[in-house]
Amino acid sequence: MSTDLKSTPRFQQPRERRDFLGLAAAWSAIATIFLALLGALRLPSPWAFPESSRRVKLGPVSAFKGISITPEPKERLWVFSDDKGLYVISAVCTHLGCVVAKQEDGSFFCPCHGSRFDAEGKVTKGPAPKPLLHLELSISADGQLVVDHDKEVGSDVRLKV
Amino acid sequence: MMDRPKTYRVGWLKVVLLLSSVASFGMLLLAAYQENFTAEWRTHQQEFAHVLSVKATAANEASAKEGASAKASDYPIEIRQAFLPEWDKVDRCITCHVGIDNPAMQDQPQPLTAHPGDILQHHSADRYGCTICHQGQGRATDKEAAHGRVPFWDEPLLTGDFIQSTCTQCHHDEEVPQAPVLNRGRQLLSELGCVGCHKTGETLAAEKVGPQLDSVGSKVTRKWLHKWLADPGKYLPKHKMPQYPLPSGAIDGLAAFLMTARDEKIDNAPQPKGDYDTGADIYRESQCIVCHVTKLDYADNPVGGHIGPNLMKIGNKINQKWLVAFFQNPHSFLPHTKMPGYHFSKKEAINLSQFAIEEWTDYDLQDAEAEEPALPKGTPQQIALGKRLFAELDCAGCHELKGNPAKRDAPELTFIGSTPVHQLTFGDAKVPRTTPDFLYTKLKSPRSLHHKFELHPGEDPADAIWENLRPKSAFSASQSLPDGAEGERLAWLLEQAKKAGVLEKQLALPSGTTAKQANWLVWALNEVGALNPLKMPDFQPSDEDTEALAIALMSLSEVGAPSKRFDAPRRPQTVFDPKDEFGKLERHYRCLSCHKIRSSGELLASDLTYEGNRVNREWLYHYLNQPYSMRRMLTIAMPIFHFPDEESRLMSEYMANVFVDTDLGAAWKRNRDKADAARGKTLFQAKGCMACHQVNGTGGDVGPSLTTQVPEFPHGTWVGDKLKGEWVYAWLENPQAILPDTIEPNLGLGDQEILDLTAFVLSLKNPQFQKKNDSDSNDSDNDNGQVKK
Repeated sequence: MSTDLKSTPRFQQPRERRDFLGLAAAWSAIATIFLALLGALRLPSPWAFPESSRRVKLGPVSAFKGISITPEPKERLWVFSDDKGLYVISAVCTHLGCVVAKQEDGSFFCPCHGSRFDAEGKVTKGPAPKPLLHLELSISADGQLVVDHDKEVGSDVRLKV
Repeated sequence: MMDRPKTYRVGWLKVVLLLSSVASFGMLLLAAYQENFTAEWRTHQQEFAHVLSVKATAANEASAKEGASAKASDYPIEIRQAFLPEWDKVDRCITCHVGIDNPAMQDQPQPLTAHPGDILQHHSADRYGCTICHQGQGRATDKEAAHGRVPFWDEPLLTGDFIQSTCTQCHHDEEVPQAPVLNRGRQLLSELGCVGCHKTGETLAAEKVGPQLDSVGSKVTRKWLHKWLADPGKYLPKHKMPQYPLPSGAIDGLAAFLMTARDEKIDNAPQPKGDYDTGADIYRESQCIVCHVTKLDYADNPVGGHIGPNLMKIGNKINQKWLVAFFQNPHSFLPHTKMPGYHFSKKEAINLSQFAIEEWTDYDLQDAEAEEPALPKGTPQQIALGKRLFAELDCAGCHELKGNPAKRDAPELTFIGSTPVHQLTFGDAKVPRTTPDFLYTKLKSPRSLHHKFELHPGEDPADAIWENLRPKSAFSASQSLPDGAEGERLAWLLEQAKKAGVLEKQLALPSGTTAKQANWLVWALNEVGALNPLKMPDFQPSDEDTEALAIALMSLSEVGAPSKRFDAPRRPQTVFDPKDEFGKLERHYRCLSCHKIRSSGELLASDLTYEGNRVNREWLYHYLNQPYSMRRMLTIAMPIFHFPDEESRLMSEYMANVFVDTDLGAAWKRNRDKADAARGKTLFQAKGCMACHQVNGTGGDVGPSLTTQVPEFPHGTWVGDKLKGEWVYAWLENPQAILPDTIEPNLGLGDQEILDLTAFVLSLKNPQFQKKNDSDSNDSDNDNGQVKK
C-alpha cells in the first residue's frame, strides 16, 4: 500500500511558512535601534571636556636644570634637580589633599593633620596613607618641561637633561 | 480539521520598515566609522605621528631622539585644546594644527606646520590659545566651522595683516612693534582727523588736523578756495583734505562763507613790496626746505620735507599781506604748528614773502586763471547757505573757526570692530559680509555701500525726493516744497536742483505721466549722488592706507582682555615741557619739531637728552649763534635763528646743566689719568676708524669728519674742541645704547682701549684755537663756570 504522504504526521502538522520579509524587517529595526542606543550611550562621554589639560608646560628646561628646588605653586608641585636629572614631587597630601609645606631640612609637613614626609616624599608620620606622588616629566618639542598630573612614576625615576 | 497554512502577504508596511531600518543602520554605521576613524582631525594627527617618527628616525643620535621618538611611538590621537576660562574660550585649533609649537615642523605644510616667527615665545598657545588673536570658532573641530566661515558666526578667521587688529586687546595705547600695519593705521586715524567727526573713545588732541580758518578770507584768493573745495587733488596731488561730493551751488556757498572770515588788520595793511634777493638769503638761513617742499629736482620729484605744507604753488593761493603777518608771528595764526618762531622784523618778513610769492608761483596756472572771469562776491543767501553747510558737513571737526563748534555727530566708531555684522549697512554692494570687508570698502569708496534711493509705492514721490535731497542745506535755502499738482511740484524740485548746481541747466522733465516724471527725476538725482544721505567725504586713500585704516578700525573693539593681568605693560610717556625760561624758548622756537629730548619730539636732528654730557658749552653757545652743517655731504643744517645773545647764553647754560646724566661715561672721569693718547692713536689706526671718519683730510666720508673746519667760527670745531670725554667714552663703549639706529659699529673694546681711544679723540683739537683752550682749562670737560664772554 502506498503511503499517503498527506497522512503522515509531518504533513498533518500545520507548517509555518517562514515570513522572511517580516522577520528581516523586525530584526533590522531592532539592530538599528540597538546601534542608535549604543551611539546615544556614547554621548555622555564626549571626546573632550572644556577643562584644562592635565599635561602642563612649566617653562624652558634650562630654567630648572641645575637648580635644586623650584616651587611651582600654581601647579602645586616642586621641581627638583639632582646629578641624575629632574624630578617632580606633588605638594598634594595623600591624606585629604591639603598642600604640604617644605621644611628647612628638606622634609615635608602637612599642616592639616600633621602628616610628615621625608625628602623623597615617603611617609614618616601618619595619617597620610601613601607617599607624596612623583609625577612624570617630559620635554616638549619646543624645549619646555612638561609635567603630566595623571601619570605617577616611581620615586627613583629622573628625567635626564 | 486540517489547519490551512497561514498566508503571508507581502505587506507594504514590512517593506517600508525593512528599507528604512537598513538605510538607518547603514547611515549609523557610516557615521560611527567617520567619527571614530576618518575624522579630519584624526587624519591630521595620524599624519603628524608619522612625520614625527620619520623625523625621529632621521635624527639618529640617541640624545636628539629622546624627545621626538617617545612621542612618535605612542602619539595619542585625541582632541587637543587650550582651555582659557578667563577669556571664556576653549580653543581646539591645536587638534589639527598639532605642530604649532614644534619648531621641527617648520618644513611641513598646513595644518601641521609650526607657527611662523617668534610670537609664540611671548604668547604661548597654552596661555593665549589661538582665537584671541586669529578669531574663528575655537570649539569646532571641522575646518569650515573652526575657521568660522559658516553662517551666524560673526568672527571668521582673520587673514593677512588683519590679524594685527586683535593685538590691541592687551596692547592698548603703545605701539606694537610686531604690528607695523596696525601702527600705521592708528597713525593715519589721527592724521586724517577721523576723530574730528567720529567719536572713537580717545581723548581729542588740542590740535585739529586742518589749519585754523579764522583769517582764511584774508589768506587765500577766492578762485583758489573755490577750486580747492571742489577738488583739492587738482591743486596738490598729495593732500590731506578729503573731497566732498558737493553740488556746485554748495561749493559757491561754502567759499562765500569762508571768504567772510577775515582779519581786518591784514586787509587794511598796505600792499607789501620787498626785495627778492634779500628774501632768498633769509629763506636759505631759515632752512625752510627741512620742513617744506620748495623745489623740484631734475626728474620733477619734490625736494624738501613733508612736515609743513608743500609750498610749490603758494603764489597762486596766498595773499602776500597775510604771509607778511604770518612770518612775523606764525603761532598766532597756527597755535599748534611745528613751525618755529623766527625773529623776523617786518622788513625781513616782507622780503621773505616777496621771495616766496615770486619763487613759488605756477605762472602758467596764473595766466590761465587770469583769463577766467573774476568770481563775484558771495550773496547773503550764499553766505547763509555756506554757514549751514559748514555745520552740516562738520567742517569744524578738522578746522578751527570762531563761533563754529564741531558737532562730532557722525556714527560712533568706539566699538566698530566688534559690531555684529548684521548691524553694518552693506547696501547692495557685492562684497563678502564680514567686518574687514565692510571697513575696507567703506573707506575705499564710501558711497558704494549704500542703497540707491528708490521710490516706494504709496508715498508721495515729490515729498520723498524733497526729504532725501542732500546735502540738505544746499536746498533748504529756498522755502519748503509748495503744495499743488504733482507735476508742478516735480518741476519745482527740478528747478531747485538746477539752482543748487546739482543738475545741468538744460534738463527738463520728460513728458508723460507724473509717475514717469518722478522716476526720471529720481534717476537723474541718483546719478549725481544727490539722493544719498551719506556725509562721509572721500579721502581717496591708497590700497595700503585703506587696509591699514581698516585694521586700525577693526582694533576698536569691545572685546578686550578679561583682566588687567593680560594688559601689556605701558611704557611711561614723559613729555618734555618745562615751565621755566627754557621751556618758554622751546615753545617759541619749537626745538622739538626737529630735536628729541627725553623721548619727546622728532629725531630729524640730534637727540638733545645728553647734550650736557656730549658737548662743551662754549662750543654750544657759538654753535647756536652760528650753526653749521655737521657733515661735508650734508647741505642741511640748523636754521640760523639770530638768537639774541641772552637767549643763546641761557640755552647753552641750560643744556649743559640740565641735559646731563652723571652716570654717562663716569668711568672716564674716574680713570682719565690712565688714558694714553699715543696708544689710542695706534688703536685708531688698527681698528680702521679712518674708513668712515676723516682726520686732517684723509679718511672716509660715512661718519662725520673729526677735524671739521668751519671758516669764521669763533671756536674750535675739531672733535676735541667740541665733544666731552665722558660722552666719547660712553659712545665708544656702546653707540647703540645712546642712539639705537646709529650705524657706528660696537667694536667691543676693552676698558683700557676705550680710555686710550677717548684720549686720542679728545687730543684732536684745532691748533689755531689750542692756545685759547689751554689757557681756559686743560680739558673742557671740567668747565663748571659760565660761558666766557
